[in-house]
Amino acid sequence: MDISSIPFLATAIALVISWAMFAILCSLFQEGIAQVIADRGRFMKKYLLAQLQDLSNGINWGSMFYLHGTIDLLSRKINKPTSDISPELFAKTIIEVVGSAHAVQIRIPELKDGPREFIDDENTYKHSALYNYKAATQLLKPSDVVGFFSQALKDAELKAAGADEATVYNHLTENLTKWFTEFTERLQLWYKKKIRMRLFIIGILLGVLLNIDSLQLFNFYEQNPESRTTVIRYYESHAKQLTDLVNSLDSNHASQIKADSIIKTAKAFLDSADKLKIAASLPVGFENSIFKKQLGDLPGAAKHKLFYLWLLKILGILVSGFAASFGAPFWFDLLRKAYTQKA
Amino acid sequence: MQFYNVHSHVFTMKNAPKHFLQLYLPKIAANLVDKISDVKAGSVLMESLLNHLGNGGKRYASFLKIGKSADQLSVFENLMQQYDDPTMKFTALTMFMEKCGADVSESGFEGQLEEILMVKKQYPDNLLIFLGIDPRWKFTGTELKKTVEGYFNTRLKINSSRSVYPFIGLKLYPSMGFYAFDERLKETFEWAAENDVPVLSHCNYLGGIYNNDTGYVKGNLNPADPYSQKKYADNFPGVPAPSYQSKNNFFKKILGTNKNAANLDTCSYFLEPASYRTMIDYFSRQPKPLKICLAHFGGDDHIIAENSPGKKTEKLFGMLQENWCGQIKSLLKFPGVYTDISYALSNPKVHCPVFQELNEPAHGERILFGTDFFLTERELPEKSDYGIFKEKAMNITLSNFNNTNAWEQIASNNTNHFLQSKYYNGTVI
Repeated sequence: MDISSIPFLATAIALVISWAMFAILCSLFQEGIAQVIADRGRFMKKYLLAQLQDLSNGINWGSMFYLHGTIDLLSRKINKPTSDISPELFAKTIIEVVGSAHAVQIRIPELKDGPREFIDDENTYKHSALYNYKAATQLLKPSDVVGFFSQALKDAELKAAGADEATVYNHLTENLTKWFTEFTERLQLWYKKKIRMRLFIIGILLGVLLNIDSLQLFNFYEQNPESRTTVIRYYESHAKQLTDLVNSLDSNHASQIKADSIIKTAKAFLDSADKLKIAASLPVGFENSIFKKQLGDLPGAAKHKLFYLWLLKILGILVSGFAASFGAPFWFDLLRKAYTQKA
Repeated sequence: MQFYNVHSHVFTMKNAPKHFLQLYLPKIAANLVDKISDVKAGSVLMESLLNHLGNGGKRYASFLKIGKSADQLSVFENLMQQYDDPTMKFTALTMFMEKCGADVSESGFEGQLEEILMVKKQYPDNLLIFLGIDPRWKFTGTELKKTVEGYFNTRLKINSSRSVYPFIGLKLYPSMGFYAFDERLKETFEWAAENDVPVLSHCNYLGGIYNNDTGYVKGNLNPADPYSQKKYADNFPGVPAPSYQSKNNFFKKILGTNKNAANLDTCSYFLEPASYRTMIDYFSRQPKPLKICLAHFGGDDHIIAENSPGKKTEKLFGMLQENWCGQIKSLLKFPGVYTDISYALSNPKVHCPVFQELNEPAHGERILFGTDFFLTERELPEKSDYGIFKEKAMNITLSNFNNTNAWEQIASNNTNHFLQSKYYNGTVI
């Protein structure tokens, strides 16, 4: 079955392709902004600070973690913290930070002189990193964070089952690594939620600037079968490149993209999209925007309907903004499913 | 000769309560400044806007810039760079600000201490740290003393061949909601006196950080004084008991800052020099008196008024209608009591009175040099603050002190004497 042969379906598919392309453009803008302000790094820091705030002991372990030389040296600037922290690095650094805290060191004498009521209170480790870490779990006041540190160590000790200290240390780093991996996975979901609003705003702004009016595009595709066929053919011939681009912009992988690579990708995408616009004679681009054309000048527009036209324009751009907020992966996934059904 | 700046701060906004700016600005403005200055573009915009507001704006911009620094290391390095003497030692005062009615800090107080100890590891000889204490930090006075002892006695490892005592003094900030005579501080003060550990307390009329929790302030104005064994108000026969200083200013009402103004004024009770008297008197009768510095000499306005015959200060908040600089001078008669000229010295009009006081045989040896960096950045840059005063002081000789020049007396001799203890003997040990 040829999609182009069913007018309503072809119009809908052409519109979805347009939204998908627009969503890519918005994602490129969003990624550019995220790179400039180190948004992912800030987002990660904000949540690490929130999760590792230990009010009982008056210490934010997240703050101490970021001040540690190992992490500090990874950030290009203070207000641009890195998001590229490997789980293993997190684990080793947090063990060091917690154990070496002065708040723990000042109380170490209590371990030697204090009562021995529980078996797990024995701290017989020879290596300072393990000894200090265990001392921290024994001496700090109970809190969610200390509970987490303590649980990670107890689990490591159980797994090691009397093996040497190196094995306990390895299991401990494994446990902390696992937590950080799960935390970053959740973080990616939270970040996706956060950028939806930003994509919507970018979508509205670009929609106004480039006249991405979904209602106008729908009418246009309905009235211009050649144009919608051109758009559908463009997608069919570029599906793989576009899908690869979308995958690279997915927030799970985008943090690895370099800033100069974003500019190159954006330029290549804009060139390609511009060719499509000319080939399909699409009513988009700055020259078709409200800054260049009066709404009343549009063909078929009656002057007395100006208010109505403005209302439709605003609605059309809002719809485009919503479409952008769903993100390019959503629309490309929809297209992939539509084409799978067709096959 | 070793010179000191006995009063500086290197904490950042991360160490301050989350709503710190709301103590000084209307809530909306504070939130806006906080959010905007979080990103580079925003802080540049904020700086440029403030710079257009004249010198006041410029200074506020630099204050915010330092406060928003990455960490205490950056602030301390900024401070050191403004001095031409690489051997200068700086006393950085840590602050317990977790209970001043502006929420807790991002770093936590112990986190603030951990962070400054990282700076101490890098600059062990230039940085001298005072441990901020507050009766509300721990549940009991005994626990507080034990914690303080732990922090003082646990040496900080600098490298494989050197370790030092991390703290050399204690810092109080009573306007955050307590009196210096608080019973929970007594054991710690007794320990400090035994070990000659100096205590530095904020004492500036209507200047500085205050407690913005109205309910708490109202409920703690008249506690029992363990040194006199009476209610605080009963230490002042014939004087009305401390009361909340309500405000009803129309413009402040619109801006929502009436409460702030009322709390600031009311917190003067906690700070008033007269409130220290029973405690100081008690320690003056002990084998070893407590070394306590009532900082700022009461504030620049009070120093000027005290030294201008006939000039009376307006109605004062507090128990006594007496100039605070004058009140501090009367306390300097007790052994172990000092004052410093930090913050006040940014007003050049106080220089002359300070030089006169420095030549007073009775208390010339009890006045210390400090600047109150970085809080003074609102007034003028540290380099000028220090430079202008030093230049003048170098040219003043003190006839009552063997013609020593005023700079050596205030920034070296007096301060060195104040700082000497079991934990500091003129060099970092």
